[in-house]
Amino acid sequence: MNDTRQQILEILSGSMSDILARSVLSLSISWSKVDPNNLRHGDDKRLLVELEKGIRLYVRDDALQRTCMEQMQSLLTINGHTRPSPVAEPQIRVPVLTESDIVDARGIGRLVCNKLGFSGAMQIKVATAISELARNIVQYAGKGEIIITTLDGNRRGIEVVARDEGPGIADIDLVMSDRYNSRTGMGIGLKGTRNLMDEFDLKSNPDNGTEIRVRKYMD
Amino acid sequence: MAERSDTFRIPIIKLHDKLIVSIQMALSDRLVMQLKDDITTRIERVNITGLIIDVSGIDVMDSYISRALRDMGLIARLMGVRTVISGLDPMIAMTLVEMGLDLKGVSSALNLETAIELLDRKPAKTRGKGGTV
Repeated sequence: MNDTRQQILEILSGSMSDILARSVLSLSISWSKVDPNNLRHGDDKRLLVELEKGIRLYVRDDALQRTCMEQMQSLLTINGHTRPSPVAEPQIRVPVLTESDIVDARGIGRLVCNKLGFSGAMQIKVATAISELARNIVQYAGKGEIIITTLDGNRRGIEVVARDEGPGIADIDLVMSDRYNSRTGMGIGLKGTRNLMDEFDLKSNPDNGTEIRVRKYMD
Repeated sequence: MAERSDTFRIPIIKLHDKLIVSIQMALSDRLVMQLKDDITTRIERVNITGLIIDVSGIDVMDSYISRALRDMGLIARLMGVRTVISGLDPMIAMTLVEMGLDLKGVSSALNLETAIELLDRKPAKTRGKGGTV
């Protein structure tokens, strides 16, 4: 691992969980199209702006926020030059193994939406949907992953895929119906998720587990 | 993050005849369960008539969290304590409605101040139409 990148990560980790820190960094790199290890004059500012958005979103404590930003500023303004390299489309995979991953997954989803310029209400809807999907993984499959992808085609938006290799859903129609009541929620986790998102696609069978793909568009 | 440690608990504050819980963070399932236990224990131990759960700092409310908050209200009611949920973010409220979730059986108030006022009024006015337990 290279220097500046690692240093940024260390600063971020001081005030947020590791996975959030990694996500803030990788999204900041994607959005600013700046490689921290190849900083050229002017690049530092663009990267800094993106990093600061993430810090503002995730560090609630004012003093901690200020310290984090100051550290970031001093790191990036001292460091060097050369050229930026193109960065691939942002896609973030969040492993979901324990219940604390649920909080991380929805936090990252919210961050992506924030960076995309989604309204506050839309950010919350997407985060809530991710929370439902991640919880289903923890509860019914034990482990799986959430993959968050930025849609940059005709319609800007976000895609969330929740994938696991659990026992699958025996009766999809029942789960999506009004009659269903789960053990832990109100039986509307998946129905609610479908209502919140623009597209909802569920594939499930006992051999391959479950894959739920949802999308939310900006317009 | 400091608040993610395994021993962190959401503080419950006693103020006169009320318990006040202010949730100012993203809730993990563990915190939710712990809070439910803690509230129940405190209600049993101290003499109070009202419980206020302020959710102004909560990041999202999904079906699990909504269910848990509603349960806390219902448990408190069974123990003779009225519960008011305060400070629900309008965007979170919209999301709840769109999902088809509600907090049936639990009163709500715009903010902590109005929640206190609500609880200080005569019980008959604040309890709505009879118990929905």
